Amino acid sequence: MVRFAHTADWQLGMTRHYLSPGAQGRYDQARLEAIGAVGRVAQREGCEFIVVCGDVFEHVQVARKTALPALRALGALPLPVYLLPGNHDHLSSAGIFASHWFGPQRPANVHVLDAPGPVEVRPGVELLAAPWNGKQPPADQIDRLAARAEPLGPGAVRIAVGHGGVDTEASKMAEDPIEVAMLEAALTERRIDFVALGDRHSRTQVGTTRRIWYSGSPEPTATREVGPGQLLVVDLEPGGAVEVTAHQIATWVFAEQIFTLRGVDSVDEVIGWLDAFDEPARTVAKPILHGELTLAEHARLMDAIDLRRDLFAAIPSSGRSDLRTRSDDGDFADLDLTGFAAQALDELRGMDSGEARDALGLLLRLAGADTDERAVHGGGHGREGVAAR
Amino acid sequence: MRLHRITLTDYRGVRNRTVEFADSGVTIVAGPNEIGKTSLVEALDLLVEEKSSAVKKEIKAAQPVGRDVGPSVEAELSFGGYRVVYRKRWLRGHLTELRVLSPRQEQLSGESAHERFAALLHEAGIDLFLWRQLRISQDWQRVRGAEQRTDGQPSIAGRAAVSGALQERSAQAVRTGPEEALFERARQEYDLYYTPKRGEPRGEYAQARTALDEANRRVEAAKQTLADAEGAVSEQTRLRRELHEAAAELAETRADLAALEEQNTELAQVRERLRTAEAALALAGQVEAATADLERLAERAFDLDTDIAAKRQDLVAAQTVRDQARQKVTQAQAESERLRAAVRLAGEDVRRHRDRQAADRLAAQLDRAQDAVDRIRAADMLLAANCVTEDVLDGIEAAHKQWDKASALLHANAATVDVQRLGDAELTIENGSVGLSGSTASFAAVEAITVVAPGVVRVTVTPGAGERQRREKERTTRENYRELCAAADVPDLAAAKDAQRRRRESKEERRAAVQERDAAVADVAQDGEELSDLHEQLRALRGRIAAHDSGRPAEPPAPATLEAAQTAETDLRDALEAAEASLRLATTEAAHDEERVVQLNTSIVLLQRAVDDAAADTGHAKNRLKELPAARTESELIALRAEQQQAAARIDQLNPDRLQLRLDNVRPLPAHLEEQQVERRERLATLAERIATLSDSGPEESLDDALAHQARVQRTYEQMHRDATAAKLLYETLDRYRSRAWLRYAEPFRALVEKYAALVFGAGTTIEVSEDLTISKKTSAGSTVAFDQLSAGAREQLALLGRIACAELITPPGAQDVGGVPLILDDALGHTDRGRLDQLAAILDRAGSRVQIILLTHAPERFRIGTAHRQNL
Repeated sequence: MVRFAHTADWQLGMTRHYLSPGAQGRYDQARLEAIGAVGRVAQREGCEFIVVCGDVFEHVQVARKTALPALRALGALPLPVYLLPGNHDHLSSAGIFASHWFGPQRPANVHVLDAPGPVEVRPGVELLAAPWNGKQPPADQIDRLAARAEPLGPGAVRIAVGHGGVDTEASKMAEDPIEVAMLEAALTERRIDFVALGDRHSRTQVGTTRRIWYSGSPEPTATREVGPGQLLVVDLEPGGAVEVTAHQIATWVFAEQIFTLRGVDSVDEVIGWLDAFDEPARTVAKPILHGELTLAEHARLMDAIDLRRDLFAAIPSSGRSDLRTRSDDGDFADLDLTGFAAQALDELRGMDSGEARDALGLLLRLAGADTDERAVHGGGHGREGVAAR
Repeated sequence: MRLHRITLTDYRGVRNRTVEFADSGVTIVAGPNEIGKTSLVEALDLLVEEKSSAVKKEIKAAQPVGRDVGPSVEAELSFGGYRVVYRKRWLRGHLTELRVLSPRQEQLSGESAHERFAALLHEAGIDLFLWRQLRISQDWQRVRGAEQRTDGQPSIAGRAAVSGALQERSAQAVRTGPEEALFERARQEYDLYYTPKRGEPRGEYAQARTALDEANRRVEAAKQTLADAEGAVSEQTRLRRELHEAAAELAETRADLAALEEQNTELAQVRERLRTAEAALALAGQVEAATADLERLAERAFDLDTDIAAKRQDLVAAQTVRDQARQKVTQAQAESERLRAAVRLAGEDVRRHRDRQAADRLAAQLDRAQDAVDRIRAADMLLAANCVTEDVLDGIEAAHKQWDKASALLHANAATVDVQRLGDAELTIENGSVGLSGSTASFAAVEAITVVAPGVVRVTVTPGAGERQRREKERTTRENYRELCAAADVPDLAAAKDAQRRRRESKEERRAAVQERDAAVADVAQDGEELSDLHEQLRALRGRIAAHDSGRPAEPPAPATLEAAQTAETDLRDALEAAEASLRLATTEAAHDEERVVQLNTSIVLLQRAVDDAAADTGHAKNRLKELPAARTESELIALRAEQQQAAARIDQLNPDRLQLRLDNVRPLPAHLEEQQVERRERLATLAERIATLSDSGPEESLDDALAHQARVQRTYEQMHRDATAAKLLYETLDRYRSRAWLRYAEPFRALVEKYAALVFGAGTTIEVSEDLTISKKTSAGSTVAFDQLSAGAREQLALLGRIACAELITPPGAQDVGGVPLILDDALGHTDRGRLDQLAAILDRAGSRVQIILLTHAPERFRIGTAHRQNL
């Protein structure tokens, strides 16, 4: 029996443009710390080794300031770690694995699977690696390697370690995808016992054998991901059963939700969704907004979101949002504008353009401040803080 | 507000003074400079605004110099339905007292009095700011500082009293209420993003734009770095491939070169073989040729010997012929000699006869000439004896003529003496030449003549003086004539003429004789030859003849005549010619024969030389043959020729030209390729370093960072831009409508100022008022001038009109003590001339019916306001 930890897609060095520099720093730190978390869970669970199925680094050429702390964290792990070069950190003469400093800095427990083919972990346990050596999938992709591998003898275990999209994942527009059928045939013929894959950041089981898995990334990297932030611990019995257990690693949350807005309640719903996150400082929450709001409602929503921006790691606006505003009589009824201000208001309302709506929103805010000011003088409740955008 | 009176106590230089103001109309407070007019205004300000406990510099300044007392001010005022007396003292024993006189009496003091007064003012809507703005003071600095405009106009915009007054006259409400506040916020919002004048981005908005530009540049730089890195990697890949390929090419080239060099070596060897074979064949050829030469030389020697023998025989024959010819020539020469001598003698004979003839002829001529010479000599003798030349004759004739003339003159003038002997009387005539012939004599009395009749008479006739002269003349001419004749050796003129004729004949004779002589020898005498020469010639001729005759041989006999001599000579000459022709023929023949001998001798010499040469050649040929190897056998020669052919064929095969061409081409290639390899390796080393450097910096990561930063900055900018655009649109829309409203709003104020301006500056004057209710432009007589470009007088006049208009506006008719404030003018209109001053006085007078006007002046006479209440300080 062999027990090992399966992880992938650490993407160290990755930048999220919607994160402020500070948030990006925290996010980087969290993903670096995830290495330690992976090691702790693996050790706790009694794993013999860890395989990282590609994209350990975000780039082929990673700055040393990114790579060296990662190597240090890897070196601190109490068990062997096998790194597979993926499409992001493929083998290149100019890449990190070929750099003059990587060799000297590589901890002894860290092994780079830099050649296609089998690597013995210990007698009876073998990895079958398909590293990437360019931006295109390798000629010796894991499905082909598996198909060519010698059938296993009794008592031996062979774990296929690959990276890339599979042909059964319709959403994946990968070039030259890994053929799941070939892998399954190889599994059936016992040329391999398990396929550990990287590339999808969501934890995903592929096919029907229960032996082909994407571990997903240990920390989320996008709000669309499903089930990221986990480590898979795999038990393999030579010629016997397989057991895959997921362990939570992530400390960050990347979430998105679609809202169809109409009326004050729908605004409250969005605000409620945001306020429901436990750790907003480690949360990227992306509301996807549809529908239509009055200027006042829209202003309220925007104020609410703005207010929370400093709280959250990021509240990115979504390209999928399609929220419209309309100026409603009610928006301005309370303002009791007369004279030239009323004339200007009429003109702006008649313009029907984004700029005009923005101008109306501003007018509402400025007039509202006036109202509030008067309200403050009258002992009412003010909104100055919200108005400061 | 209305000011009824003011009392200053211990205030500056004033111990105690009360000034009362008229309830309505204009109050003129007159007093010289420095008497405290301005103190009145200042004291009012202190009373209304400063607490009595205040210890400010300006309060201290109000304390009288050198007196330790507290300055005190008391004023009686009415406003908003209240009439109050308000009093304050500062510094020493400071106090505040407020007495409300009506409508309900009140008495307050201290802090509560101050507060109450402020509350009352507020309640009445009195705007103290506006109050100060409506003043005109000489010294703006002293009028409470910086709130004053520098152009002298009041700052009245936005004051509630003004706005309220305008609103009452305007359909639209502006400058107050929520609209104005909204506009102000919109403007502030706009100001956050744009500069007020040029509307250019500013502050955070401009910074966002700059940051975005910077971020874009950073992205471009990062992209460039990444592209550099990728370029370096792709170059590295290419170079590595090239290095590998070039190594193979180098090996191939080296193999090619080795094969070519091998061929080249073989070529050299084959060439050597060819050369050896060809040398051997050449030697064999030489032996063969030398043998053939010897044979040929022997043949030639034989031929030559034969030739020489033949030639020698010919020579002997030719020499015989030649000798015979020589003999013939000798004989011919002798004959010619003989004939030549005969011809010579014959010639001499001919000459001897010719000489004879010449001598005879010359002798005859000489005889004739000698006769002529004798005649000449005779003539010469005659001539020598006769000296009467023509000239001499001419002289004698002339002298004779003179004498004849003198004689005639003498005789013509002389008295004629006729002597007639009468009877036989003797009569003699003494002296003279005169004789008595007969019985008569007649003579001229040219000399003293004495006629004597002896014994009878003696008559002497003596000529007179004239006579003597004529007689002298006659004598001198006669003597001259006689001298000349004597000189010519003739007795008289006739003889002279005869002598002269003879002389002429002698000369003629001589001339004829000379002619004769010359003619006699004319054909023989050469130029200059004298007769003596001819004689000599004759002697010579005769000598030669004699010599010939004596010397001539006897034989042949001398010819008798010239003709015979000439015939003999001609015959001999013909014979000589024939003999000489024969000689010439013989000589020619002899020369020909001689030539033949010479030719034969030469031929023999040449042939002998050829024989010698042939002998030498034979010797050489023999020597050469001795030096050459032995002659090859035929089989040996065949083998050599086969070797030669083989080698040549191989050389052809190897194609030396092409081989050399390829060698030249290929030899430098390996070094060249090596050099390229070295360059590649060096470049690769450089690239490796560069890639390492670039990789360490993580160019993709840097680009990601830059892109993330760009995205953030872009979002910030876009949001900012959206906000800015909204602010701009809102502000500009509000501003547009507000400006339109403004025109209507400010109209009552503007119209009032314009009405007064027309009174001061003339009908048709128009005024423009700007947003802050200040006068911006004045147009009169078609000329529009901005306020600050106006003259000082016009500016102060318009500023006053603005104040009057404002004061009128804020004071409801018949309610001066409600919302309005007094208009206080302190020494105003210093720049204004008399005419305008009167116009302004009229306006003030009229305005005074609604507004309380207090005029402080040191020259009250300047303000001609009939209804004014006057106070002197």
